[in-house]
Amino acid sequence: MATNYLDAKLALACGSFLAFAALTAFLGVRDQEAEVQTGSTPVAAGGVAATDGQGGAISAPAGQQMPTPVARSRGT
Amino acid sequence: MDWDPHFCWYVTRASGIVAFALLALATGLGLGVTSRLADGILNRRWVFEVHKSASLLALAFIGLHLAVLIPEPWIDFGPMDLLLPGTSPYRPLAVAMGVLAMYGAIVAASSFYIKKLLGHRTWRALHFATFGTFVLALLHGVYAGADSGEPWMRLTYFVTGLAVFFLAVFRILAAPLPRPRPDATPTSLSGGAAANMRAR
Repeated sequence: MATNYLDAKLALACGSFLAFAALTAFLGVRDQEAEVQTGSTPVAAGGVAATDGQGGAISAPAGQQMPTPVARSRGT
Repeated sequence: MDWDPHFCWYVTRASGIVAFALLALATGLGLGVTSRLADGILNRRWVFEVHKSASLLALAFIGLHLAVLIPEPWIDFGPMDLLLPGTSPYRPLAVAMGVLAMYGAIVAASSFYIKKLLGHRTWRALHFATFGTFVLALLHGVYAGADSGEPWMRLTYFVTGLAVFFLAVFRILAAPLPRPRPDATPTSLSGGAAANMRAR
């Protein structure tokens, strides 16, 4: 039975890391596609790059100013 | 090799989503163990061990979720913003709920190892209090998550929220009733039956 616990724990850990890797790749590809389509990376309040699900930018909340993001050029 | 400047941003979002899913699994399994819902299907000890592992893994992903936020060049998060609730420049309330959920997850995960020190009654009370961790994490995800508008993310929140809610209600309804004392008069019996019991 102890082996069963170990198998389950190992499967859970491996599954979590696989899901994490797949999600990271998925979000990266999707954001890059949105960047190509819109010409710029959408930026949310607080300088957070984000999309609203439709490739659009999340607007800053009322009373808050959108800070200017300092984007690094690719390949650096 | 071409390094994506937003790599940390993808990592923090992905690790946050995985941490939330693991927290939902840990909460669900914990409720499953105590309500004995899985009895007869799964070994209780097995469910408990997976519940414990899911809690620890969730904690590891929460750590990653925070760690990559600091070097991310687009976000102005300092260590204090991530450790003190309400100090974040970005959606302070939603981030504060996430910070509190992190502390709840730390308490829940560490309580497994100090159970003997705490005693079973205190441990149980503490463990029940950490149920709020899931609710805080859900609210943090909904209101601070960059992908909350996505249909697949909404579905994730809905399914996990509904599952934990159902299990919590089942846990409350299926909670073991206190055993009646052998000398106590059964109050649930009808008047006539109770009188017969007393007459014996």
